[in-house]
Amino acid sequence: MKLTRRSFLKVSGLSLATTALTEFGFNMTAVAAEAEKLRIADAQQVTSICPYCSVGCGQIVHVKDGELLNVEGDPDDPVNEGARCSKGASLFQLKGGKYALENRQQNVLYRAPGAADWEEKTWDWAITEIAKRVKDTRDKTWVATEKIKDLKTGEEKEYVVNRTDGLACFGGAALDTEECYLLTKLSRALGIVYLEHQARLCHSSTVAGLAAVLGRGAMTQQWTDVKNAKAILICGGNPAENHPVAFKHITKAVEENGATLICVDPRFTRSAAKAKIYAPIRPGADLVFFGALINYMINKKHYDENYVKWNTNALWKVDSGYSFDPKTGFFSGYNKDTKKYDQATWVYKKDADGKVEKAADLSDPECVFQKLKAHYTRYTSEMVEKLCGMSQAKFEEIAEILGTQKPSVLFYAMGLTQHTVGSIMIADYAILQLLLGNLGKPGSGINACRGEPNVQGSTDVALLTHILPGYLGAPVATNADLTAWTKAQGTFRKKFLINLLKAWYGNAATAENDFAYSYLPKRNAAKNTTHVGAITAMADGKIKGAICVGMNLMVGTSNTNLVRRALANLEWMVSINLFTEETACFWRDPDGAGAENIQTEVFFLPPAGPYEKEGTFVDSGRVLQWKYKAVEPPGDAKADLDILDMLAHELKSLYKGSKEVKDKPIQDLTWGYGEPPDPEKVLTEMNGYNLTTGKPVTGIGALMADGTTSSGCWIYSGIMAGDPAKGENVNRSKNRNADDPSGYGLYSGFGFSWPSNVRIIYNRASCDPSGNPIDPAKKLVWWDPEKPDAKTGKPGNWTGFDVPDVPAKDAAPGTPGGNVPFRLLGDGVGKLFMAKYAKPQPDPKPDEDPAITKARELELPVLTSGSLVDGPFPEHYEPVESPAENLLNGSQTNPAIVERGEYCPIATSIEEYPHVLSTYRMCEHWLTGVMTRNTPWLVEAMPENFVEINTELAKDKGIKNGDLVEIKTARGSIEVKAAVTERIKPLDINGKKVHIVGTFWHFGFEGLAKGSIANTLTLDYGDANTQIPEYKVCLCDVRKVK
Amino acid sequence: MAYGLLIDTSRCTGCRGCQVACKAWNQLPAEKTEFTGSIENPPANSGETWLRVTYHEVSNGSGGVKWLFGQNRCMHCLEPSCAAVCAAGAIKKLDNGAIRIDQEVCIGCKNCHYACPFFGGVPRFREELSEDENDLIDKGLMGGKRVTGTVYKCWMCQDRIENGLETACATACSVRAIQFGEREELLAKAEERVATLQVVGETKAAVYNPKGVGGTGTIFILTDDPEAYGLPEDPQVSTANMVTKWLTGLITAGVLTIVPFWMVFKAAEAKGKGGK
Repeated sequence: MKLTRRSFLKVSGLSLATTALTEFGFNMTAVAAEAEKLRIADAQQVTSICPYCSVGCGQIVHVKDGELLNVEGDPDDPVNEGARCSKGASLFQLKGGKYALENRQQNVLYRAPGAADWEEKTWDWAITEIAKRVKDTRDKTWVATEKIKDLKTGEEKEYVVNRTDGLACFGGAALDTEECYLLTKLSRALGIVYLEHQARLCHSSTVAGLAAVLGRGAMTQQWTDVKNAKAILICGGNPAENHPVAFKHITKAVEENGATLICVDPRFTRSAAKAKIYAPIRPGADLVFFGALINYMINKKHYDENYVKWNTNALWKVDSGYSFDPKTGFFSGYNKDTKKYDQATWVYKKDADGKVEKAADLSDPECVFQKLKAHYTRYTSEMVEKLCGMSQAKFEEIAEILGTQKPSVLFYAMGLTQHTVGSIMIADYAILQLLLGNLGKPGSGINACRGEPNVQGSTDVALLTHILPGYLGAPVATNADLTAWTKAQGTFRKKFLINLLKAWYGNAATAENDFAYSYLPKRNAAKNTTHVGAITAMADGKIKGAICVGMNLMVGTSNTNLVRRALANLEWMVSINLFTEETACFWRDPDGAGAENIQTEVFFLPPAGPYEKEGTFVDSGRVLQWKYKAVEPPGDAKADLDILDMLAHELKSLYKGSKEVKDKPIQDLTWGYGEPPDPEKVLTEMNGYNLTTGKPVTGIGALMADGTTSSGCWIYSGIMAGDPAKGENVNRSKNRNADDPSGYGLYSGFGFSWPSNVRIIYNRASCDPSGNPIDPAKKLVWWDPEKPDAKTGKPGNWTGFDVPDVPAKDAAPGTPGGNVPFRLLGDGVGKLFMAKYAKPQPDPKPDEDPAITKARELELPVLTSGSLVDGPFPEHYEPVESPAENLLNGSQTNPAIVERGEYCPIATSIEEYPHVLSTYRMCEHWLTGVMTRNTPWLVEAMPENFVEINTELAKDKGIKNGDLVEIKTARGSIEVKAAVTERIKPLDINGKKVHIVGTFWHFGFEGLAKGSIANTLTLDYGDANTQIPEYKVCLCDVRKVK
Repeated sequence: MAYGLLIDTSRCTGCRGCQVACKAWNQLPAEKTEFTGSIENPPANSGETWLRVTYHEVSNGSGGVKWLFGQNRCMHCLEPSCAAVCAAGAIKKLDNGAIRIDQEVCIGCKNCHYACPFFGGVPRFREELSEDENDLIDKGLMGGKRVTGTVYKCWMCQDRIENGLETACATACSVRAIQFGEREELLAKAEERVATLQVVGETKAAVYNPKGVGGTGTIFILTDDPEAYGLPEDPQVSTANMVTKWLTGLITAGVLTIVPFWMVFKAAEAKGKGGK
């Protein structure tokens, strides 16, 4: 609706009903509204993206004379259409101006050993001193070679590892992608393997679980495509609070597409309040629920038979050595001493020629489908009732909806990921969607709701110990050279690693020196170098120096008491954050050792805020969007890109002239982004260059394996290939065309999604084997036999509304590349059984590429896909601390997890800790609260933490609403106010009443809103695959304090 | 023809985007609050809080719970008691549907507050302006006229709607639970939506547009009884009991004026005594 002043004047007074208030003796007539000045009328409008969750809401920043005037939702952005949640609506207050946020730190600070306060310093001083410490620590803790024992032969062999074990780097999912990339690049050049960030703690199990089943570890669709769903299951997430604007699209599905919204959660959340069906579930029992859903779909024949045959490994035969024993809870290959599986039997059955045997139909007892069916027969609706606390009737109601209303979308977040069985939980979700045929089509998918604005980007560029940019495996010690690495990863990925090495080491990376592969640090696969491993190594005094870029370890890491020890044991630490948060100020922690007893030196560097710099954010749907700079950062604050650039230059100058081999990676590191550094140059490096022409490459297909191209993050290739003649920006992340020809909400002209601008990944699965859309009314991509190929001119090409997710546009159905809907898996199809598989090189042919001949000789696979370390089928195990006995198998907890011993005490008696504790988030605060607890409007709305306790338990304990309560676990205790509520109910778990209490983990001792750190209570036992800690569930007791 | 706001509580997810967007657009400072057992905060509307999201937990009648998200805000009554009782004639009913207080005319007597039949009195007194507001006033950028010692409430974002923009709250709402538009059209939409809600099992769904105040510019779609949202079932224009209320108000105002003086004198007296 267009409102104008003119239209008001036309109607003024005339058609209005006048109101008579005769008792007072006057008539009230409406008077004409006055003309009002609009304060943003002549302001400059700068587009940006919200820096909170990863929905990626567009923002318009209004600026006048260089001063921030207003921030408001961008009505042109299809994701939010101008909308904002409370956090987004508060963005104006993040400014560092003279009134708002007095506590936004604008100066460089230093805290000397034992000191009780900060001193102000200059940038020059800080960068010089930090670089000196980085060099000193690196040089002292350098590990050039390491002896590794071969697990099979028991022999020890020495490997070149080129790494430092004395440095750790944490953060930054809230940084721009370009900043994350430079952080990953610089850290690796320094030899840092303890390189970790928020993704480890929020969705590492998503990446592992989804990648094992589907090939990629990302959300499969777009927020804007959710409207096409017929059913939506929220389980393990709370989008109404944590991804509020995503609810716009859920609401559209419900109101405009008749979708049924189901919410399964231990609490009746704000999301539950909007659901048609709500069912409670005990925290940590989700695998029972999903397993029973799989069983139900198979029994009731609700699975999509054609989809399953065409797009999954259902017909592939399983090796006869594979087994699962419900009595022990172990799959075949378990070693009780090492607590590890030998996955040798988790493979397909092969014929005499080494080819995988396939069944003729789904009834073959050797095929994956029958194995799946057999595995889940134990998962009954009775079991759901006993272990989840959900009634059988409710379970069956939900199962029937999901079985019959297709397509459906699953939403989840940390409720599923943060468990010792996190990865298998996510894999289970993916298997369910494969069975139902709910991947690759409009309105279908698995939505891993990412929690930080750029955690997708920071994960893509691999601020994680185990990967390199673009999800290439980070080398371990035994990957001695590029060939050994390729043996593990395949030649498909080798090409991209060569491009990465060319981007990082330029002319120093040659075919002769394995493209400088030796420069990459090699971690020890047997050592835990993930987040909790790093914290432990700090507590043990092994890591001497740590850099935290926008990451608040104190509040965000589980088992806080270990973090207290860890930080106090560091020699030095650098904190870069918008506010001096709990990590930067850990030495003044009221529950710490006391400032005088803490010798850690702390450097605090003030960074620019979200709209004080430019660069990209990648939203949960893999879309890269450019944010423009609106205002200058306050005081001395500088963009993280500038900070990293200064540090890199200083380190390069410190290592200049060194003759040591270990210093070559720093000397040869390419680093030239201009003065000041230009984020677009960094993005172009990620996109890649044709090194012959010096021009940006046009896409992934243009990348070569011979060192003639470079690309710092191959999955982003093509982002700098926009066509201005078609009205596009060269930098496609800047594109803002909100047209949607398909009507599905793809918005392919808005930003750029990886890979190659595919909006719904695995979209090949929306077609039959011949390339025709399964549902012509919802066609997404298809094979057009007439359309000529752009390169060869030959007829026959994939086309459609979305970019087809196929290996090559001319890969015709029926050819090897034409029927691989899940093409990032060696298997090419989705995996109902997570077999370990290596795709061999193609059969020899006379005129083949010599590189292929050589690869075959070296027995190098094309593409490998692994299983999960805790089983090829997801199996239920109880949380480390659980009030229930595992009724499904003989192993109470996941047999593949690592015990934490004295680092993390666990409850020994259920009598002492009888209740289940869960921790979670609220809409008004964000993660560790660094930004939101310093935003007055949000602090006003949610000033303090509280614990949600059921009415009945509260009555038993004499606790009233608002009373101060102590929550105690085997790790520690906190005091917090009580919210007595009926929204969290006791559950009947196998005949026993189990109470659940829950609290929020956003609070700490700094900022405007303070509170005890809830992670003091949680445990840091990790998921067997990714070591994501089991934040979501532990045992506790509660009592009234006063 | 006038504009209005349609608040569809069946859609609202309680994210408080509107509450904060109202503060942000109108540059209202944050209040100091504390947790007192409900996630609702600030605890009441004030001169600095014109829109508040409310949370009511009620039984769903079958052992479960319903969580109702509502709002406390100016209802922009078609027969506005506040305007009727305004001693200074500062409150006007505008042709665009808003009930607006002219801050430069308001004398801060609070009659309007006592007369308002909603949420314990929507118009609220303000002692002082924030630094941010004063800064914008100095630069000539603050919409409306801001002065201290007067009564404030939602002004239906006059600066936005008079310049072709929707109100800040409606713009922010992600699920279109707040819609700004022509009141008659919103009423029709509301009726249609209620019919749909009835079909999907929301048997208590109803339009809240109370006739006792001539209908309201802020129309609600409720899925439970008005009381469950803190709304009066049948609000009336404050007339019959107005004189009593008015007198009470005047007396209160008088006490409020006298007490501080009395405190000062008492303190001075105590100090004088201590000196001896």
